[in-house]
Amino acid sequence: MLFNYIKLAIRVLGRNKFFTAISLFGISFTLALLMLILSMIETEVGETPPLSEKNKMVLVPNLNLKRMYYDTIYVYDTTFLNKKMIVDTTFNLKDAGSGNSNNEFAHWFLEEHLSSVPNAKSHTFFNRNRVYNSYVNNSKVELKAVYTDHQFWEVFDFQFIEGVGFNEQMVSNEELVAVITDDLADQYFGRRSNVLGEIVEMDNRNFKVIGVIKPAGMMLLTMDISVPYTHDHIDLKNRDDYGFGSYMALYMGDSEDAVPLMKEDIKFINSNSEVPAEAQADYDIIEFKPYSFPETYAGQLLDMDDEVKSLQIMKWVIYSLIGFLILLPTINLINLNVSRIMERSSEIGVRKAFGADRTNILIQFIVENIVQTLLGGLLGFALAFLAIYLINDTKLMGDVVLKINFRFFFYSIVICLLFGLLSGLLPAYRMSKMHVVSALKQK
Amino acid sequence: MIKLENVNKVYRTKTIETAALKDINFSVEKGEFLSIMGPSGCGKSTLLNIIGLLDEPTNGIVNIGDTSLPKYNTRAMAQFRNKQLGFIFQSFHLIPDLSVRDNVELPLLYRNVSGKDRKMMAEQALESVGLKNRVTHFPSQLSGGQKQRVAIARAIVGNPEIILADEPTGNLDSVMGNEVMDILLRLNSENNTTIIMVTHDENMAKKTHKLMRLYDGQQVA
Repeated sequence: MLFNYIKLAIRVLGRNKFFTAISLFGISFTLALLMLILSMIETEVGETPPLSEKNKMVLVPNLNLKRMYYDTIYVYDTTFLNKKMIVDTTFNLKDAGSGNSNNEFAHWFLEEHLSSVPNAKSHTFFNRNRVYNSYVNNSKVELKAVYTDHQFWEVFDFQFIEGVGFNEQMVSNEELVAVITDDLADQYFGRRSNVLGEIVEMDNRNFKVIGVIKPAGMMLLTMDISVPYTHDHIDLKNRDDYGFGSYMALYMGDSEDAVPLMKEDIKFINSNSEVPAEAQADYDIIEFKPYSFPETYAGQLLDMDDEVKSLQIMKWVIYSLIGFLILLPTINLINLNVSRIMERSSEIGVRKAFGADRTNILIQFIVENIVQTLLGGLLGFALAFLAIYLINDTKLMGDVVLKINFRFFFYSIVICLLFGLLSGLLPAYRMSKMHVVSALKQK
Repeated sequence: MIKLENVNKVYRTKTIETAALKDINFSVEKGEFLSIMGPSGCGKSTLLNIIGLLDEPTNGIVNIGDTSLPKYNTRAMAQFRNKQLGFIFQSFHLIPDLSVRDNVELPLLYRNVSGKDRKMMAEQALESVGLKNRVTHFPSQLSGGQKQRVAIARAIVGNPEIILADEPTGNLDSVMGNEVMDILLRLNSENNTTIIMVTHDENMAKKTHKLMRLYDGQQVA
């Protein structure tokens, strides 16, 4: 029976080629767009290297110093008591605004306050804000640098093409060692591997390459080169700037369950921290908040202070975006389907006369529609692959490399089926309800 | 076999009430061939739809066979039609996207017959109407007479006891019309299939056992 329906579906699609072309174009375009969005989400939010274990991680991105200002409002009140006028005064304190300073951390501040979080298994502090120019064969190479510690290579599972990350000793001995991406190796040395021991010049120092990695392909960890933080002379030991600097802290727990515990730890540390002495003249509140990864992305994307809230907002934005993307073509397809099915009312009449019940008719048309959508989905896959290939090839999204994986396929197929079901259900339901006699009369 | 008692059918709209059938009483025995005649709009097709359980009488009793009929428009009713009734329409109503064989298989699709058996039964039915060499054709490749023979094959493939034919020769020239009529007569005599046929054609009607005339929704003969 199902086979018959599928056979018929393909035959019907072949009959009206113009209609089929139009609706397939709509479906495949929509699905390709959805797949592209999926791939982008998967790339940034998905658990892929070097963030395979992001669900165990907590990020403390910045330090916030505040001062609240209050207005004192006096209220005068007069009363007569024993024929004397008495003046009574009351006053209210009212919020009158706040001063606010927000930036990443100085390394010393993290060392002092945030280097021991009980529920974290490991942590890393890293600075990803420096960009240097280097010159190779008279052409300029821009180096996005990350200054960090040895744990960086434990917390993030970068894919090493050759060599290793620097160890604790190298960091404390201020050894001039670097891990670079294969893209940089290509730019700098004209080859993507076999560059261990070669020298990369940055910030007037010569770093020896000890490891080559694949680029992270995501915004958070975009970099060309990574060196021990002990070479970061701008940020280190600079104590007169209130604890602000260029570093973030990232903590990793044993499991997902550790995330809320680590967040509690950090909130506890925050509540016991004081505004750095140098800053006390200007600020009286210190705040650093822990975020899980999804919360961080939402905060970055929406540029709001409250990341937890922005995660909720972003979820809604994404859901409604996907919703609209599905809904509009669905309505369109429903419309096309209704008129197309109407042409087949005599078929429905005949089927009913010969014993089809409503469920049979419903299933038949839904199967037909799903076949059509899956066909569109297949085309959509092709379009999405092409788009992803072009985006990655032309570096349209900078260093972000869009990924395609099993989950992407799975969700795409779910979307196809959902789309097919949604756009087929209403027309099929209408037709299944049709009275046999009137269905047979329409020609 | 088929018995109608005081069957009325009234079509109501907001402003007007039309009586399509008034107090119809008749019976058809097993193996009989009844033709119904009358001018256009006299209620012939309405009557046939009521006998075929495609439409519901406003009031009156319809009995088919020994079974008491389930309520109209239910799954049980669809199954009853599927097993007991075969339909032939004036405009054939073949499904254009299906091959001749798939069209004939249609009633079997709704009673869980295996694909292999369906194919065999459909080919047998097509053979009996002389179209065995057309199984893979599509309706658009057939002449009117051939289309109606495919429709007859579809009606008989499930071995129903009753065949209801609504002007089966109405869209055909006399040669093709006679061919179709011969097949129906043969079905009636050889298989003892009960047939009720609506027709405009006196010559066709003369060939059947019984004739009923309708005029303005009333039985006149």
